[in-house]
Amino acid sequence: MFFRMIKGALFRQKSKMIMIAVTIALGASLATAMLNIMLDVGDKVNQELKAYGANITVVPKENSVLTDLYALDGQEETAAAHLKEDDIGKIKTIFWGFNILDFTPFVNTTVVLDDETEVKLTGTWFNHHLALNTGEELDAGIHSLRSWWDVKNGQWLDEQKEGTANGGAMVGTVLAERLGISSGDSLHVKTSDGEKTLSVVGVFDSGGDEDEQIFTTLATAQELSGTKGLIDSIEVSALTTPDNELAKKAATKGPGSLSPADYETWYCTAYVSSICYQIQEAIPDSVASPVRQVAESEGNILDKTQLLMILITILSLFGSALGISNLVTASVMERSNEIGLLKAIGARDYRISGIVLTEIIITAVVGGVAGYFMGYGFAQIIGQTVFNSSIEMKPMVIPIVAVLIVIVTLAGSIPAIRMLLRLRPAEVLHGR
Amino acid sequence: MFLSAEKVSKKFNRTKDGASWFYAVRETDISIDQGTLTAIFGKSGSGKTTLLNMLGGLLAPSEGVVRYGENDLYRLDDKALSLFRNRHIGMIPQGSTALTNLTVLENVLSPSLIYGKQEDGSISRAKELLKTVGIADLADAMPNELSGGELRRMAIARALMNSPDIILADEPTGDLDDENTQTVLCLLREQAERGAAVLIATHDSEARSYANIVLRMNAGKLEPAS
Repeated sequence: MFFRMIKGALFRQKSKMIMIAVTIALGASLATAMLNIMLDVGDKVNQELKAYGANITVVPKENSVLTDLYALDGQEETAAAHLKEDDIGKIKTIFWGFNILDFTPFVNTTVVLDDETEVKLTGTWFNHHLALNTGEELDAGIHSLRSWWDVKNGQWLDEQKEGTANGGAMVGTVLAERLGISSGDSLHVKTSDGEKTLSVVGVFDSGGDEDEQIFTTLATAQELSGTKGLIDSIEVSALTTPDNELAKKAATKGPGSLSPADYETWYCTAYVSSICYQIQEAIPDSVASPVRQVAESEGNILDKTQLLMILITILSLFGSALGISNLVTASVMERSNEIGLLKAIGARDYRISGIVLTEIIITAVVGGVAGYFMGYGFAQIIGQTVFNSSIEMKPMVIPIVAVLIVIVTLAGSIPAIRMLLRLRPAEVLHGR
Repeated sequence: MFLSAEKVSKKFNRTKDGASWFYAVRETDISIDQGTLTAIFGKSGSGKTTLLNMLGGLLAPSEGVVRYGENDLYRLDDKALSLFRNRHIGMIPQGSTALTNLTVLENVLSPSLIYGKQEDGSISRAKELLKTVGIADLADAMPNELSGGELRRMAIARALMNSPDIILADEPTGDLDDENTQTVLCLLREQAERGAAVLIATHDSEARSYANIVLRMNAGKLEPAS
């Protein structure tokens, strides 16, 4: 009789049950979409935040001292100390290596063109393929670190296709305009250490000083500057945690000022200062400094994005609970006469509550499954619209959404069940 | 003395704060014995239904005691009181009452199914009861396909399903034609003769000739009928 009554209720109150299922499906879909995006948003936001460029710069210790002493900014050339090219990959081996999103080395030199004008030439990685000692393989370079560059003419230099030593180069728009060159043209440059004819593969607009420069492969710049195997600096894009008091203390007073417990906490948290510290540990005679505004913004954006999604999830589930509450209460009110009759023939409260709850849970399961797949669709739409990529569905979201649906359904049913328990059969059977 | 009420009153609040109230039943004594059919007459609103509900374990009195044998009914917990209603009371409520998701046959069977498995012979007894009240051909119909009179007869069959020793019938012949009124009253009389205590609240003067005891309810108080 129990199941017959449930089956009957499900089919005979079809429209009400569909409304409840739709309410649950909406809540579940938003929860599914938001949770999946939230869990995937780190990677997505990281991709987006690469547009802000690097948030850590690594320079030789000697240069850093001079920079600090004379208050030079990063654009100024300092003394001719160098880092070793072979050490670059060590950045990925630090404790927070997983948070290192991208990095690229720079070699800066001044070259003389055929018209005897001097131009700044920078050697770097564009999309350099790196095989680390750890077995990890990755592509790194300015292609993603300078994602805002607008290639007006030609294309990005593809190291993996064209090689690193064939003299490919990208030229800033201001310089290209002055020289009257475009992609496919050649550019002859010379230094005291040698000369080379560069093949222009693209003309870019950076909106800054870089528009007056030439960017070429690291090997080419090293050859022209006579610094084989050496680099001037490294730019690093890392995902960081927003600074708190501990991080600020470590940054201002140094890690040595922290107690062993605080040091442990600080070291094992992805503060920009602890990542810088670990980079310095990995690369000998280097100083890693945060580009603090960028680093803080990135962490804050990620935290706020996740908080927003949690709030949307909570609000959508709260809305669902309210909807379920109204619908189930209305259903109990409609069936009060039957509930009174069941009590009159001896049914206990828990059994009647069990019938109502089973109906709602079955409806919730149907709504929840539908909602999960709707949420999958929402997540993909949001992923494509906001991040231009699909959202990976995390299996762990399924049990979380299932538990949330059960909680929301039960919470939404509480007013109806309380009403059901208060129903006096004598009154409802008498039509009151 | 099988089922009795001693000085029972039922007070209903007219307002939520209890500032205004009225007595539906006032200091009433009644005892119903096995093998007797008691009929209570009275105008609408005189308190007949309230008294039946208090006797049936559905409505706790404001004052007084309802006893089944030596037990105070309203001192039983929910489990014991529910079981008492299922095993001992056959309640025929006023109006049309049905479990709309079940067929007529399942409605009649419902009291026997609430506490566990269906016993052998339950279905044949339910069918027999439907035959007795004259709606055997509607066994597989749904309640919404039945007329008011047919629903009433279904409710009577349901009340008799567990062979209760107390039958409380509130206007059992309402909505019935003369022929079916006779059938239902005969059936209730038979229940009394098999040993059940039967109490009916009715306006139908026909019931008088079937009753052992006839009472009148007037403004919440019982008195012997003239």
